[in-house]
Amino acid sequence: MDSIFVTVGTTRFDSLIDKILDPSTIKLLQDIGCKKLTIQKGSSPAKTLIPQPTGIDVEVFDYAPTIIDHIEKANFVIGHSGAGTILDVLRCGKPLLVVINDSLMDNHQTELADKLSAEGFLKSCTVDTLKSALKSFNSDSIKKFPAPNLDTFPKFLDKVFQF
Amino acid sequence: MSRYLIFSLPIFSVFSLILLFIFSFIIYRYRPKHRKPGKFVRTCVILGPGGHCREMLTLLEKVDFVHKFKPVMFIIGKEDKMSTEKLKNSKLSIEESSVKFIRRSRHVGQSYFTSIFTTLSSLFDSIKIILNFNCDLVICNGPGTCIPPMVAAYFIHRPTIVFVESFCRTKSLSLSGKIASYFADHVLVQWPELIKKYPKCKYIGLMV
Repeated sequence: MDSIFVTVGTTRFDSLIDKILDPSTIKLLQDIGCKKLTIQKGSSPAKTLIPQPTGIDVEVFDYAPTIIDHIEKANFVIGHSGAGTILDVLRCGKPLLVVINDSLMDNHQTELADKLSAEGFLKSCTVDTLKSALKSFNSDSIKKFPAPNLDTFPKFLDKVFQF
Repeated sequence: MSRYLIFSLPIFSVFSLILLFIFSFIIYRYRPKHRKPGKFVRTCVILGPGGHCREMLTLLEKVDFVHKFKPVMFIIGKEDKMSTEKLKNSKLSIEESSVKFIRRSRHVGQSYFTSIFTTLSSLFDSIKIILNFNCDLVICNGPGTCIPPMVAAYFIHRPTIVFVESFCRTKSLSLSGKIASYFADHVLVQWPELIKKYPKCKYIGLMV
């Protein structure tokens, strides 16, 4: 896990960003072998933008038109529970730890994270359990997400219109 | 006086919609839904913001827009610059297409009372657009934005409406999905658990 990418999508997730940049978390990341940490922080203000010199190369940015490149470069992704992020990461075949934002009221997005986690395609945790989840994270225990069948929908339409 | 106006406007609009429904029911009752051989399917796709747009573009990736489904009209929310960009950058091969914009029916966090008015303005935009585009097929997938154009199309042209519920919904239909099940001919879901709860839905596999 030498290259880790953290993404919060198009929203903000202050508590996750604060937690990640917390010196004790940085220390833990270093312990599990992280050398490069890339953080897409959205509009969250990062209190301590650049942590103390730790041996980890930290890069922080707000948004990017596409995060696919960053996902592909990483060995491990920590993300919010947005469907877009989850799909992007699973489609790239990268191990994913979803951090659920339990401060959101209407949280139908956790539905997806819970389901995929129950099926073994990713792991999920909350900000409070992030550190223990990182410690116990084992990418070998994650199942590969099946590719979608892109012919299903066109075939369905053809049938409806009797082509 | 102005208070009367505020309350009577939605009531009036709802009333006219009911009238429209009755008329369209009489007119379209016996209209066959079969495609004439050799005819293209005029298609209207409603693109929602964010993940919805992404899911829709994946759904459409292999749809034959050259030999079967054309022309295609995309309806996008006015403020939704991202979806417009994503559509431009997508790999879809489409011969004849147009893009139309509508006002958004409800912003995140907007109160239900004021959303009556914004929904109506979105509905008027939709009616204007749909009147000019006689479609045989409407494809939509979930955000609130898709409801006004879908309803307008239902009353004006009575096309085949296909609603695809988001991959995010694993346990229940979204509000748009629940509304759409009254209008759509086909409601597709992406998790098999849902069809037990909603018998009208179909599960044909994971599509995104």
